[in-house]
Amino acid sequence: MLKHISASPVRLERVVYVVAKTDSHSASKAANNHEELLQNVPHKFYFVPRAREVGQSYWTAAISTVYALVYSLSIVPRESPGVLLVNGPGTCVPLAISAFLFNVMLVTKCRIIFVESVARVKSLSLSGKVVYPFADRFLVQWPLLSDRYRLCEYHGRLI
Amino acid sequence: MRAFVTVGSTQFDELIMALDDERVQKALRDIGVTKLTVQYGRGRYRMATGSGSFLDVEAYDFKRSLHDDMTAADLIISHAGAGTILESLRLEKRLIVVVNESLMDNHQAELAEEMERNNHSYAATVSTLLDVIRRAEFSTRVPLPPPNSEAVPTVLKEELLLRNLGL
Repeated sequence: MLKHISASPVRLERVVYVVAKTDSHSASKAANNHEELLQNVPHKFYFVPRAREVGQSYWTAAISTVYALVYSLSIVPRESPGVLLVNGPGTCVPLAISAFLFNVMLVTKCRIIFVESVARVKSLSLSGKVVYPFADRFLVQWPLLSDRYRLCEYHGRLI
Repeated sequence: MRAFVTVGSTQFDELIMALDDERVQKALRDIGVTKLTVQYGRGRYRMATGSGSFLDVEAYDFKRSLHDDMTAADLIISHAGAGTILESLRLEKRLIVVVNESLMDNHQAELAEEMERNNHSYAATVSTLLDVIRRAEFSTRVPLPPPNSEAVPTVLKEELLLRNLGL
């Protein structure tokens, strides 16, 4: 998906990547992509604590979500993005919430685009359900979801 | 024919145990597999390696990238992770996706089933794996269509425009 954006003619002033601390793989892939396709666009990385590890129980997940939310709250006003594009995992929830909160307080003017995981065929992910009510755009990768949820857009598989 | 079994970064000992079963190895041999490479991931179970009665087996926990083993394989038996499923199908490999039924939130079965319904691969569980290996007709599988690479950039462009117009 990052490759699609980097290879498209969308003009970007600056790109801020926010990745989970435990996901160095995605970070190096993003860095390589950026180097290759967006050399002239300044960029920056943030590494956030994960809101919820796969398989973590809902209770301990609640505590780590609060911690991740505090961290993410600081990123959004500092960077004041025009668009926040998030792709599903737990990491993106606190970011999306903080963008929404700072929008409400008129601190930021940030459009929120949520891309649901390709793994979700019939039902939204937990992250998706949380972000759904306030996302400006909600992209899904299977047609059944756009039939089921009014605001979901299906434009084919995205990855 | 080479088969590659991968569980990604998960723990899926039940699948490894199933592959350690002589009946499963014989079924693989019957469809032409002679070499089996197994990636254990975070699992603890160790299967018998070396030259068995039916297959030549090698195994390891992790590699920096599984890409080479996936490319070398003719058949991939994979856990139901979206990344592995998509990569296998992009490589146009024969694919059997084994759903881990012991996971808490088992939406992963949805993707495996959807890929089978669209005739890209086969879906199995540990208990149906043997059966699926026996009845799989890979000649009936169709390649996965490429993704839509325009959608996200288009939406991004629209939203940047709306934002700059103050809407």
